[in-house]
Amino acid sequence: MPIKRYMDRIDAIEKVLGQAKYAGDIHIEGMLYGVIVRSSIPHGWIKNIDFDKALTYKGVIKILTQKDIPGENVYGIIKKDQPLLAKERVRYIGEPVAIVLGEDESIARRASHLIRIEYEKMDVVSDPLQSMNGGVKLHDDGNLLSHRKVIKGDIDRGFRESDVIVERTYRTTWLDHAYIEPEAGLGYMDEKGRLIITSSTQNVHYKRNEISRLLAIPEERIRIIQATTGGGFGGKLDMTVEGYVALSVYHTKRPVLIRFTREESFLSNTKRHPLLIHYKTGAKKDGTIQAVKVDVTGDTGAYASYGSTVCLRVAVHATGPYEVPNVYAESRMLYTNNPVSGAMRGFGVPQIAFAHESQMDIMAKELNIDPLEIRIKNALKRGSKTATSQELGTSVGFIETLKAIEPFWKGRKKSGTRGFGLGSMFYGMGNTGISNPSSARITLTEEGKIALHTGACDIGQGSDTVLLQILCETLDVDGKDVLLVRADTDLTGDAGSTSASRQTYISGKAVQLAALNLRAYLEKEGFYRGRGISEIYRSYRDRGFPPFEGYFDPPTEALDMDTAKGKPYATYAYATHMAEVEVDRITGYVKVLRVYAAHDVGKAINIKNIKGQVYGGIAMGIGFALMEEFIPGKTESLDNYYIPTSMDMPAMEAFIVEDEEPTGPFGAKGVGEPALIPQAAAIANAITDAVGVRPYELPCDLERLKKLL
Amino acid sequence: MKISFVLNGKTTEINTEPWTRVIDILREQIHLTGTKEGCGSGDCGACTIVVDGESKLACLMYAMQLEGRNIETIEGLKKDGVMHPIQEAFVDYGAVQCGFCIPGMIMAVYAFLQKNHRASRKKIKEAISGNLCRCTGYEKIVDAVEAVAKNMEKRKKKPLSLKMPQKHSGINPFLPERLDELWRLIDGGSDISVYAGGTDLLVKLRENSPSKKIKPICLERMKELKTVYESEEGIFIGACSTHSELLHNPKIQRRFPVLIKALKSLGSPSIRNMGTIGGNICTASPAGDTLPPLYVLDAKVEIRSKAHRRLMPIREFILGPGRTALEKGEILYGVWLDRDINFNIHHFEKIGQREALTISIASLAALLKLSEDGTVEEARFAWGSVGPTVVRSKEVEDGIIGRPFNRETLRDIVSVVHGVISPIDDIRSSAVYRKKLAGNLLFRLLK
Ligand SMILES: Cc1cc2nc3c(=O)[nH]c(=O)nc-3n(C[C@H](O)[C@H](O)[C@H](O)COP(=O)(O)OP(=O)(O)OC[C@H]3O[C@@H](n4cnc5c(N)ncnc54)[C@H](O)[C@@H]3O)c2cc1C
Ligand code: FES
Ligand code: FES
Repeated sequence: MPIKRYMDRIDAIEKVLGQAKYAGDIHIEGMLYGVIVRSSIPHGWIKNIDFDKALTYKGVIKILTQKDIPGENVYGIIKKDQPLLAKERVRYIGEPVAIVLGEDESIARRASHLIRIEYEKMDVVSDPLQSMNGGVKLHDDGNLLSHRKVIKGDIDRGFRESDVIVERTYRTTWLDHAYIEPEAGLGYMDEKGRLIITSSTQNVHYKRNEISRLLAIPEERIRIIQATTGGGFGGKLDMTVEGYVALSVYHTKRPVLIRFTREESFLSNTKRHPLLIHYKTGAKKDGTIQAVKVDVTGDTGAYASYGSTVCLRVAVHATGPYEVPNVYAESRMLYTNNPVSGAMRGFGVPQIAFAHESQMDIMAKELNIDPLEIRIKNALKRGSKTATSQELGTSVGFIETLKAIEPFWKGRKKSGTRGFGLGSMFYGMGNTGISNPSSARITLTEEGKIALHTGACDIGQGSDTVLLQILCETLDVDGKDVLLVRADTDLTGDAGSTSASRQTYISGKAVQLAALNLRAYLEKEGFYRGRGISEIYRSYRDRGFPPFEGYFDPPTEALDMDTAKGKPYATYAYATHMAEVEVDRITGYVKVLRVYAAHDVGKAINIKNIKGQVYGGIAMGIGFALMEEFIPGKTESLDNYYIPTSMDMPAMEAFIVEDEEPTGPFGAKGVGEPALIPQAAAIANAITDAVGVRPYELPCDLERLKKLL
Repeated sequence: MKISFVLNGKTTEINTEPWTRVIDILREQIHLTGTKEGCGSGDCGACTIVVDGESKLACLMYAMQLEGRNIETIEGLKKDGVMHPIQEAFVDYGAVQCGFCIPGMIMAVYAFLQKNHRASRKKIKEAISGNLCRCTGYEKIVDAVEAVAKNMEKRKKKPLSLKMPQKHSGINPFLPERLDELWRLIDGGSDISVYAGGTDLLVKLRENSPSKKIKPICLERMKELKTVYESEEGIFIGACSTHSELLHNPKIQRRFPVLIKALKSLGSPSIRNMGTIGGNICTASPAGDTLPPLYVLDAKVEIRSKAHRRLMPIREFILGPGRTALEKGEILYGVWLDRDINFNIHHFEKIGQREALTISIASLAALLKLSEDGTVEEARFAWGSVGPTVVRSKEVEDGIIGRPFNRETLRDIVSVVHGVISPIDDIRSSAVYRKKLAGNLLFRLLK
């Protein structure tokens, strides 16, 4: 049954009018501006900091360093290893050392240039392979952040029983999220002395927790509110400006705004992990994959951020959406003196998809099988066992995505230097093998509205709208009957982060469960027989505002530490993209002409939103495949870091496959990251189809491709 | 300093330092925060506003440039409580995601649709090519604009009628309109700098994060520097002619297709509305897109100071990256081009990593005169981005004369090309690649 309660995005109108308030748009009389002073070297001891000139600069109010942090000067979403402000040592270029607070932004900025930091330089390790060998030790517990293995079957026997073996090495580089809104946040102290922060963020409760530790004040004294957020893609999951804003307000008792310039954003935000992937695939003559052995080395940079998550997720997704009886996937994440890598749309899976999809095509060619056929032959389906030996019970619409693409694939016409390529993927919804619950609460208001309280951050993907739709659909009410209270630690419960494509699936389910509770109440109270909410409100108030709550934690099982056996995710999304490209042999330039994308989303709650996600994912995939490359010290502005413009976009068509997931709301899963994951792989395969050479390194920019031609 | 202008239909006067960026005036002083800052360097378009009907970037304009202008921002589009059709279409078509790019995007579309009533998808994509969006893949934005354009075709265009504010004539000393005013200013100090569109200078000032503030004079209103005319001496293009003005000039279109092709590939629509040919020349970047065409056209530059006027070939004017023959007290007045340029092939190609907003990795401008039997009678080639300045080579040009214009001839020439150019490695690509490219680009002439 289709979702009846369609809604246009609830935030669209204020956005097209220019009225939506992003954090940097908020102005409070008398507010100060903060600018971060950063390390200019990759590794060294701080010998001395000379503040004299900056302190006497007219309009400078205060300069803060690590000495001013009252609590623990360390944070991190998984492992707490990153100082808010460098202690005695810096480990990467751009590491924050001090905060300059000025009466206006340009004062703070100019003064920040007057601060002289003296360092004693230390040896630098910039290659994770080198880091593995020791030498320079970056953290007390060594340079290896994480090491995970996924083992299934007998890998040696798998290769022995294979007729053909394909072994290749793939490389990817740092990417920047390049959301168009740079990081920003504003903080102030309210009348009661509570610290209030409004920022551009993907999670509010996590940030409250970090700030509580940094400032050594209880969480109840802190309130974090999400401002309208101009894109996240994983980059606003970690602390960005919040810690600095909090510390500044704490010391000045004045409102403080910190917003990064684009260059600061490039210097400070976490990057997509560069991965070095050795990949070995064995198959029978008929195309059945027998064995997959993968060895991944990743660079997490100076601090952990999401390094261990990416490490594990890459290993778990190493085979791609195929059933492989014998798997040995090993993944290591190492510290270096490079920029910190963290969460970025897909947590390592877009990188590994580039490898497994290239392998698939190489194998197809070796065996003279059609690339679509070999995918269908090995596809995960109901009853299949994944690399972690999880048996897939429900909602495995992978083959349907291949079938949706099939007519275009069969109808393709190769000519000249035009080529076609497929890319497929699967992606586990939510966090890997750990509990990651969400909650939702519904209240009634005196004005006769049904208010949904959710901690889920809408960062542009549209969760606000989708969650309200789920509410309306469950209650059978109209958009005008409901209102949303969102992402505010005072008013909403924890919904977990907006990451891992989990909000529709997990928070959506929590909303549905809360709504079912309310529905039972409303039925009793005669709402469906015509009694209005305002009226019902009175008896609701008399009963002391009983909350209608929903809580959902997808059923997962922890993974075995040695073999990763277990059930890392309750469900997976599946997708297939097909790309058509034209290659210019003279220059190595690749133009993407057309993309078809089919996604199994479980159930489409909002088709426009899904398509928007898919088209946006294709754009990011084109960037990843062809042009985006963060080079520390070089591509630190949008002038040098190229993301696709409107003119780089192909003709696109998105197809929705619905294989309902019983644990999801109305059967829905997620699509945010899947939209991107297979795109670069499809382009790489299309390039090979077009000109016969294969890119093993991304981005496959003009020069890299020309070298191969 | 007092500055008056019309802002969203209302006469507005502000008091500010003339070199405050327009984006800061709008956001911090007038508290119109719909205009966003995504980069501050012209690269994202989030700050797009409309100035006298043209899209421009508020992050690369100083407050004084507002004087007497009609400024429209996102806040002004909704009139009498009714959203503009573009805004409505963006909502209806699901074109909005995080929304941060949207105000700039809508303003770029607004300016575009005022001038273009029949808009293909391709034209729409071109129109928004200076507005980066990281969320939507642009697809639904283009859908929305296409729908509005279709409806606009049906409606009659209403001419803009506006009451312009009284001009503060002579009040702004840094925005001269006539040469004598300029000379008075330049005479005044030793450390005077000028700018025209500001698309290079303001970016540079930003990078330097100046602890000392530079206060340049703006030439955008200099009437003499904005004309294009024909005389005995040739065709004159005033230094402050914007790229857009030249693109739409029938004289230039007819006579110098090679220049038009280059202008089309330069920056984005807003950059072309702001940037000038004089600025492009004076920046003297090896990647300056108008330079290879100007080199093959044997352009001469006219330099003026209070006391004198001098002419010199552009190749002598440009001394190296960022260096020109301009001396203290001098400005670039304009460019002279030959009236009777007589070539059958005008060719320009720029190689960059993406289709818009791209700095050239290498470019080639070429003029060829072929006889009826396909023999080369005259040839001029100029390469951009493959050396410290644009490269033209007599050896290459002479080497091809009298030979049949075919693949074999070009193959011979390529080895000569490799001998005369010596590119460098930079962020965008390596010397080896550039060298190979410089030669290979010649083969495109065969098409
Ligand atoms: C996002 C972006 C994209 C760009 N893309 C391209 C591109 O694709 N190709 C390209 O070639 N360029 C590009 N540019 C650079 C720039 O837009 C052009 O070089 C433009 O032509 C500069 O003109 P302007 O009037 O804005 O220069 P300004 O910034 O006003 O001036 C540049 C320099 O020239 C001097 N100057 C200007 N006019 C005169 C004069 N009449 N007399 C004496 N000195 C003068 C100034 O003092 C200054 O040093 C881009 C810039 C940006 C910000
Ligand atoms: S802020 Fe990006 S172009 Fe002006
Ligand atoms: S909608 Fe987010 S950048 Fe365009």
